[in-house]
Amino acid sequence: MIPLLDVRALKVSIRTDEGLAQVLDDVSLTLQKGRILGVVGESGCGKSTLIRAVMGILPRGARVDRGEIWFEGENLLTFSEDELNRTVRSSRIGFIPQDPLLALNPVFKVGTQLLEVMRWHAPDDGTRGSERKRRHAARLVELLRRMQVPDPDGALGRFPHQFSGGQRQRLLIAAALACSPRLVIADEPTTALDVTTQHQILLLLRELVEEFGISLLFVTHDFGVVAELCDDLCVIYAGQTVEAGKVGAILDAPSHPYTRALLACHPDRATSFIGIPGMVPSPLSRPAGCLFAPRCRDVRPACLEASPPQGRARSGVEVRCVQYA
Amino acid sequence: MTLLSIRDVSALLGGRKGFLRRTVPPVRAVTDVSLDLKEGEILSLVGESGCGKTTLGRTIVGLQRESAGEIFLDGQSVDGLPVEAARQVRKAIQYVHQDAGAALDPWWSIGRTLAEGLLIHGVRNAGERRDRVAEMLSAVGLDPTSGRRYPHEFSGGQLRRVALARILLLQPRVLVLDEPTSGLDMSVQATVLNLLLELRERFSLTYLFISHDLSVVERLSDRVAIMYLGRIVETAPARELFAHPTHPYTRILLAAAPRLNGRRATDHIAVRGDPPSAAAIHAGCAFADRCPLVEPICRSTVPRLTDTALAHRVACHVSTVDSAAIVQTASVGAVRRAS
Repeated sequence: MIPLLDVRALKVSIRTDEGLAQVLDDVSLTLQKGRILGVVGESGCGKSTLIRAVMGILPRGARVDRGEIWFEGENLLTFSEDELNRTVRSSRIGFIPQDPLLALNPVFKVGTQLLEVMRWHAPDDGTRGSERKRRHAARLVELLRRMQVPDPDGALGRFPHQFSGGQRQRLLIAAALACSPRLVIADEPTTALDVTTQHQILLLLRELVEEFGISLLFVTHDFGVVAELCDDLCVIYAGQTVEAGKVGAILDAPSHPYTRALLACHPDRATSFIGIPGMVPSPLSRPAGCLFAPRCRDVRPACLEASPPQGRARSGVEVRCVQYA
Repeated sequence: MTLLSIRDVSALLGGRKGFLRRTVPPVRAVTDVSLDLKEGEILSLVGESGCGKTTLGRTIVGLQRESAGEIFLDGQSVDGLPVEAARQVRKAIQYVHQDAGAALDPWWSIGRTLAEGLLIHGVRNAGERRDRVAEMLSAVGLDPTSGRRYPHEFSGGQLRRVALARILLLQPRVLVLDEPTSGLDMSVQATVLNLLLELRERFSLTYLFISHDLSVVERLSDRVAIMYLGRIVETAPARELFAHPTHPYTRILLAAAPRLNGRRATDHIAVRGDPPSAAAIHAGCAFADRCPLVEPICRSTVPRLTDTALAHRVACHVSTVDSAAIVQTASVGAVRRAS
């Protein structure tokens, strides 16, 4: 089956005042239709750059050095800015941001902001002017009702501060789904929320994936959320995919030393809180060989010489480590 | 031995008198809270945002004046004082800020910031101040020479260490730790938790650990107190609380927290509505509006904390009577598909 999203060996560098930063080095991930793929990594590993590359909104000074981003059979990297706006953003790839308060403009009504998304990106249904706008508003109210926003009819006329944190996130999920995308990218959408609210939002997302037939790319640093929500998992370290496969297979028996060390830090697993010695290598000066080698407990001479190839563990999980090459 | 004891403490926040302006009544952020902190233990205070856990922490330290109740430190009464005087008699209790970076002056070197605390507390000799700062920096796992550096040169985890060093220089006995690991990566969080355990041994500290991360709380604490809208609704030894959560809110909280090893199959209960605001508290149990077990009595009478088992206290009219009922009342499937 052709995956919905297939990122292959993506390499992105950003020019900075201190030199060239290798933010993504070799990231590959595959998201099949109807599934939820969790992308996990610690801060600075390149999660945000990955999302921005897929959406075509890399920061100034960033360059894609290598790789392909295949989405529904097309390489997004060959698209022009105008093509991305007309045919991809919002209409085929929706986005749920991390902080719902930052994503909404406090001085405009919610309806104005959500309708703006639809005005630019909703598919053409033959209607024009006020008729088109009325249909869009009706669809939004319908979506807000599905998102369990209280008083969905009045919601469009209210301002962002009149909603609670969880409700604001529901508004933005509605916005992401407004133009019927095939793929939704969520950037840590529950980190700003309390646990009970987080649980409600995760339940909602899981239902929406089945109901709307979307696929979800869920970026997070929380393995607990991954264990609960995701089908597949992709662990990123210093701009490289180090382990990818089914969530259950990885959480039950992590293969890559980094995944093992990271899971051993989780309070639910930790026998003692030792952490991982050392630091993530700076994107400005990266060591030769395996990027995790300086912090790895099982480091071998071969690790320091060349970057390890992609191997496969017995569980079928892809692992970038000499032990599995 | 009980080191710190608070009895029926309440705290009011904000409010304003109306002269040519609308009168705004103060918000009751903490209501009738009683807690005992034994020497050397880690007591975790758990609750969602706005439940009053930070206000309670600040009240105990003396940064926020209690409006009612009694506070005893080493058996001595230290309540009823204005903020300045309260800080004097409660020097042994220190507060570690949630955002370590924001609590440091970006224009001051770490060494100068750390030495200032010693100066205020009467260490006149500059050489002694320098030595003690260097010694404390290495105690929290930083290079003793890092006192010359500035806050922006440190990572998030290192800043937590600096914040701890600054507080420990004042030789406190009780630390109120406000979400000490929020916003940290998991590998860094582990090292900070490890440091907290080490420092507790080395300096014989007692911790009041404010957190909403139940995974951390379960691993770290001796006892846990669950707060909801300014009141403590359940308190028990950590092991007992996680094995037999009794208050409906505690059950919902435990069931909602994403856990690595999967949630317990019986505990899928849905909570209605959003976390409420302390500005609109009604009569009766504060949780009644969201509770799946609500009974008429809950709407009229505030439940008192009562013993259900040894050292396990719960404030609920219903769940103490039939705690099994909750699981059957509202059952919702797991988030993850069985694939």
